[in-house]
Amino acid sequence: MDIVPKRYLEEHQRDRRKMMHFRLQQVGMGVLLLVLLWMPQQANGYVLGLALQAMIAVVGAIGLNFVVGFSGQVSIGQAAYMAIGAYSTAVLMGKFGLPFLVALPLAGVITAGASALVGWPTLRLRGFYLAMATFAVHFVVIMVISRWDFVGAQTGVAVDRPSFASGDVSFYYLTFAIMALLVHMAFNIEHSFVGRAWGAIRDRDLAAAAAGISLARFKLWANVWSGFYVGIAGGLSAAFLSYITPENFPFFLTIQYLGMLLVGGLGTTLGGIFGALFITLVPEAVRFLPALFGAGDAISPTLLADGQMILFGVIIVGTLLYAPKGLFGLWEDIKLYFRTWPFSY
Amino acid sequence: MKGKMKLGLAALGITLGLAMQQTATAQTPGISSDNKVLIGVVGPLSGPVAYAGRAELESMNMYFDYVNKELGGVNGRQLKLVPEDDSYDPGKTVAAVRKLVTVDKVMAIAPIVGTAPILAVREYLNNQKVVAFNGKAADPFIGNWPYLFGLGTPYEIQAAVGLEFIANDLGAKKNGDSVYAVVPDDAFGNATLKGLEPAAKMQGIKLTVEKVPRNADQYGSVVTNIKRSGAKYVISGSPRASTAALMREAEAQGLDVTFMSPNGATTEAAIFDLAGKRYANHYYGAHSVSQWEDESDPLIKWARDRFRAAGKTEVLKEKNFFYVWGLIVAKTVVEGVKRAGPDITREKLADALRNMEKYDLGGGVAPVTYKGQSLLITGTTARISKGTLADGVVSLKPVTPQRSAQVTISLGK
Repeated sequence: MDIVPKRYLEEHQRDRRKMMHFRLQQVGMGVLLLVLLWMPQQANGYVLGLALQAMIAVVGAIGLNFVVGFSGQVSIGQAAYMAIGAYSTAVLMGKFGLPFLVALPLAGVITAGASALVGWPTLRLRGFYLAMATFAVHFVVIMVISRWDFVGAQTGVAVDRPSFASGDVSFYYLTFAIMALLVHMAFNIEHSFVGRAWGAIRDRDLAAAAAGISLARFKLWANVWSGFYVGIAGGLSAAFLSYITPENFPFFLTIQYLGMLLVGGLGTTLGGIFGALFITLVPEAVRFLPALFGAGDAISPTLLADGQMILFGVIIVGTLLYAPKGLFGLWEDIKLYFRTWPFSY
Repeated sequence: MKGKMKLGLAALGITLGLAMQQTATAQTPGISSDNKVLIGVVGPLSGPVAYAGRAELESMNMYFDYVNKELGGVNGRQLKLVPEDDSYDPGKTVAAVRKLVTVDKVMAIAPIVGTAPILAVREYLNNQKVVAFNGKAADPFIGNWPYLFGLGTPYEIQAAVGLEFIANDLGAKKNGDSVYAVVPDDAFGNATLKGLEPAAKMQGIKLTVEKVPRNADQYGSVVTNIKRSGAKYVISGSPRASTAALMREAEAQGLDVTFMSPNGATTEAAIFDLAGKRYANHYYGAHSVSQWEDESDPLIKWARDRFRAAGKTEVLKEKNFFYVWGLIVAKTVVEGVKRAGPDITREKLADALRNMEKYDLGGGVAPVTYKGQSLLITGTTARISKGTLADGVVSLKPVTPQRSAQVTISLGK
C-alpha cells in the first residue's frame, strides 16, 4: 500500500496543470493588453484607422449577437440601428451641445428604445416574417433621415470628436476603453441568468417557456441590449468618420455584420469579437497580397477589387460548410488540442 | 478535428501575417524610393458603380503612360498611379485613403469618386494637408477645404442650364409646358434639385419633383404620375441603368415626352443600349465636360486615337463619361506637378493648383481656374447635347456652346 495514494498524486498533477493553464490565460491576456495599448504609439494612420474600425465593429457585432446569436431571433436592421445611434450622437452634440461622453450613452439608450419599439410588436414573429419586419425598419429609418432637415437630410451632418480625443491616438484609447467596458459587460451578460435564458429561448423556446422563462420579456431584453450596443457603435462610427450621410448606412452593412457573426461564431461574445476582427481586417489584407507575393503592379487593381468581393463570399460559404461554429469553434478546438496534447482527447 | 485545427491555425497565421504587412513604397511623402511621383486614386473598382472607377483608371493609366514614355515624365520624374478600391462605400474609402496617405505616402489623391466618400475623408485629408480631387456636387467643397479641388461645373449649375434650355430653347416657357423631375433620393439628387428648383422658379416653369431610391428600377407608378401631371419634359437625374428603366417604362405606357439628363454624370448615349431607341431623338443632356464619343473635341480625339492605336477597341465602343473625367483629372494633376517644380512637396502641389488660372487642357472641359475661387471647383458653364439616332446607333451631339446659368445659385451655406 502506498503512503500517498497514486490517485491523489494524479489528481494533484491535473489540478496543477489547470492552475498553470489559468495563469497562462492571464499572462496571455496581459500581453495582449500591453500590445494593444502600446500599438497606437508606433502605428501609422492606416493601421490606427483599421484598428478603430475593427473596435467599432466589435461593439456592433456583439450587439447584433445578443439578438441573433444569443436569443435566436432574426434581425436585418443592423444598419438602421447604427444610423439611429450615429445621428443621435450627432444631434445631441450638435444641436443640444452635449459633450461626447454624455451624448454617446444617450444615443445608445435612444437606439435601445427604438429597438424595443420595433421588438415589441414583432415578438410573436419568427424566421422569415421577423426578417421582413426588420428589413422594413431599414428602409423606414433611411427614408426618415434622408428627408428630415433637422438631421441634415441628404446633406448629412458633421460630428466632432471630443476635444480630449480629437487625434487618432487619443480617440483610439477612448474607443478601446469603451469597447473593453462593453466587452466585459457582454461576457457578464453571457454568463448570467439572462444569457442562459436567451440560450434556452434560442434552443428550445417552448421548453424555456414551460420552465418559467418569459419569452416576451427576455426577447425584448435582447432587443434592448442589442440596440444599446449598436447605437454606441453607430455613435463611435460617426465620431470616427467626422461626417455622416444616409449613404454611410447601406443595407450591405447589415450583411457585413451578419457575416461577422457567421464567421466568428453565433451565440458567444468571443465569436462576435473574432468575426468582427476577421471581416474588418482580412479584406484589407487583400490589398497587400500583390506586394506580399512580389507581384507588385502585375495584378490589376480591378482584379484585386473583384477578388475582395469574391473572398468575402467564399469566406461566408466556407465557414457555413466547414466550420459551422465559426472561428470560435476553431479556437476551442485549438485550445483543446494543446490542453490534451499529446493525446487526441 | 486535427485537420480543422491545422486549417484554423494556418488561417490565423496568414491573416495576422497579411494584416501586419505594410507596403512602404515611399521615402519622402509623395516620392517613391525609385524617384517616382506617387498619385493615388480611390474609386469604385467593384460594385454597381464599378464602370465609373474602372473607366477613370483606364484613362489615367493611358495618360500617365504617355507622360512617362513620350514626354519623359515631369521635372525629371516618372509618375506612378496607386489605385485603391472602395466599392463606393465611405467606410472603405476611409481605409483606402489612410493607406494611400500613411503607407503609400502619395503626393495627392486624384480623384476620390463620389460625394459620400469624400465627405467621410475630407477632414482627414485637410488635417494631413494632402491634395484630393473630387466630382462636382458643391456640398463637399462648402467650408474651409483648401486641399480639396473639383473639376468642371457644379451639378447645381449644370441642372439649371439644362432647365433653362428646356424653358427657352425648346419653348416650354412660351407654350406653358411643365417639367417633371425624377431624381435619386441621395446627395447627388439633392445637388440636382438645388439647380432645378431656382431655375424653374425664375423661368416661371411648373416643376414637379419625385424622388426615387438610388438605382431604382421600378417606375410604373412614377410614369403614371408623369402622365397625370401632363408634363411634356422629364428630367431624370439617376444613373444610366435607372434612367434606362424609366425610359423603358415610359415607352411601355406610351408616354410622349422629351427626356433630359441634368448633368454630365447622367448624360450618356450608353443609356440607349439599355433603354431602346424610342426616345433617342427626344433626348437632351446638360454637361460641362465633353462626351466620350465627341471626336470634335481635340482632347477626346487625341485620347481615342491613342486607345485606337493600342488596340483597345472595347474602350472606344463604350459611351462612358468617366473616361473623360479620368483624363481631365490626370491632365490637371500632371500640370500641377509640373508647376510645383522639381522639389515638389504636397504643399507645393497644393499651392500650384490654387494659383492655377485659365489652364487650357486642350479640350474636355473649360479652362481651369482655381485662383480667386471661393470654392475650389472650376467651371460656371454647361452645354447641351442632343441624342441623334443614325444607322441604328445613338450618339450625342452638342447643340449649344458652353453657357452660364441665368439664375444665381447660392452654393455656399
